[in-house]
Amino acid sequence: MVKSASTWAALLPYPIIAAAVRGEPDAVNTVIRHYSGYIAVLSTRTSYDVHGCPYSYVDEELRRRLETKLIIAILDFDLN
Amino acid sequence: MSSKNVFLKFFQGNQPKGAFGRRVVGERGSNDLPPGKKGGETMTPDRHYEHKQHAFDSFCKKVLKCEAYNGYREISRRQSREVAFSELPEDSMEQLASYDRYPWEYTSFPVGGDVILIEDDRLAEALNALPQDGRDILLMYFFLDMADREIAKRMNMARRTVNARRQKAYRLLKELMGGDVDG
Repeated sequence: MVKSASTWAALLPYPIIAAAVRGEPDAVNTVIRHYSGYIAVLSTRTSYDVHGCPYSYVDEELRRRLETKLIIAILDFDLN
Repeated sequence: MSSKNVFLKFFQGNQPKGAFGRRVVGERGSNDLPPGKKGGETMTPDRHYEHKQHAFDSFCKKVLKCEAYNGYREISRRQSREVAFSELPEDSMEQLASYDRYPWEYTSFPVGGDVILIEDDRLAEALNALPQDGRDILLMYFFLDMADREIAKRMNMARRTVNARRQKAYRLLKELMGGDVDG
């Protein structure tokens, strides 16, 4: 499978990181979008329906919790 | 030629060039650092930014993973405590139940500022048959959990009077309800 350009460019540019650590909303949004895939994977849960068939879904509550935590944690990142 | 020399020759010839005496510094190369340097001097600011990019990436992933772990632990803890409503045992169901009370199901007795509701018809009838002061004392004593001294204060009597009237009313009540008076 050929990976797309966005997958290869797995690292956020430094200026965006610096801006996000300073707390600029646009940069924070970019970071959140950058990690949205990972957040979705982490908050995917598997449940079983009445017939016992497994189905997975993204737990919205967990997803929001992870996003909130990421926003808070970004501000604590040590840039130096 | 002794066998020792042959071995030496064989041994030396088989070695790759320069395999001894070199320190492996990193995966980029095995060169020794020039004397007087600690390493990292040639690192440009770009390399610093690149390092920070990687550090930030790792930081965010760790934060997310740990928080997800916390979230799942919370979910599993909640699930171990939660019981489906249909699977509740009988006695804890009773705690949740609430019963409607209708005015015709009980008799109310006003005492001072409080109103006491009594559902048992037999008891209510007997209480109604008691004289006013004895009934008030009994209600305060048994339903409001007041001490004789407090009752006395509220009714402007001596404590002993309260005690005597309470006992008298109690005996009378027992009689009215058909109990054994001396029991």
